[in-house]
Amino acid sequence: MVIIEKFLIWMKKVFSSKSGESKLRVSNSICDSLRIPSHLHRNGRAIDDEFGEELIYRRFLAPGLNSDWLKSRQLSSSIFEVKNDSCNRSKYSNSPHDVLYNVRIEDEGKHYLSWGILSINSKAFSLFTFQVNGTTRTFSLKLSHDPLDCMFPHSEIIVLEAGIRIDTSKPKSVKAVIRDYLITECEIVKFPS
Amino acid sequence: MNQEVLLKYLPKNPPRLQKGVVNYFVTRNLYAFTDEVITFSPDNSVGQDFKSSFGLESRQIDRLVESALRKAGEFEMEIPNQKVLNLTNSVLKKIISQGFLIDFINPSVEGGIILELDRYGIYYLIEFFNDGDIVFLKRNGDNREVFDLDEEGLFEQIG
Repeated sequence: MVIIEKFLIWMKKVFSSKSGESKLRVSNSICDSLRIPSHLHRNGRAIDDEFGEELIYRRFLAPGLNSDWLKSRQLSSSIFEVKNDSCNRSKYSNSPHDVLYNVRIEDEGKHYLSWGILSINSKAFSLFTFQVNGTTRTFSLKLSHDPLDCMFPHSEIIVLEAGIRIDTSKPKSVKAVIRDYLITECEIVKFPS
Repeated sequence: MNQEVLLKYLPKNPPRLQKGVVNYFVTRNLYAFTDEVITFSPDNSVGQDFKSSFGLESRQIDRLVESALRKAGEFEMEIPNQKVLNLTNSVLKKIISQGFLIDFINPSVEGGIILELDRYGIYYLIEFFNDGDIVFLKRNGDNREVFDLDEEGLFEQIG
């Protein structure tokens, strides 16, 4: 990697540590150097939070054989990590495989080509009610377009309760039940290879 | 004995046959709903020597837990700690005797083990975390119940 790019990575880290998020724009040449196709570059395009009926793609890594995480149509929850809420939306993707590109500059273009891909219809992101520790709670899932400089379709899954974004890390039961809900809505687009 | 069997726990890398060494596969008899062990030696073909699996349940459970451990190592996940392994072992012994069918045993990306089970068409998930937390989830159709439990609470749930 050329020196200027390393310098930009360093700058990005400095900005991230000071502000919590990077305000530094990554140029298209860096996206090119990561071998990310140009249709995925942001190129100054605005955020589009209008999600119509479209598909959401997530990559996944599954340990072991297919039978270790897939039985009939039942997918194992182990392949769905709620902590990592990143996904790509189909509206700005040429192919589900776009979600396999790694945009982390420090990973220098090591993409996730062997990973699997799941899809979820955005219609699944609605209100749902569960019993959590004996109490009925109603949650909703919302998609938020969160474009990255080298990955315009990038979006996040946000969990809301009574309209307020919640931290799904505690209690762990909430995360587990949301993961279970999502996994039953998923379809496999690509098996890991 | 009905010999229509499903190779359920076929080892990933079956041990190479050695003279005088008995090798085995654990199988499930589809009619009797019991696990059985096929033993074979270099002189026998697979399936010739059926034996009861009585007494071998612990070995089968050990293999399942070992498999989850191996997968965690292969994918550079946080390795399930000894407490999680022991608890998984105890829970498996209890639930297998109660007619639960094991769908999946996998390492958790957050450190621990995820058990996924089925009984009478109801899906159960038990997740053991390295920090001692346990999550128990039950799904029947669209109805879901989930609990944060300790060890005692879990054993109450699974009876």
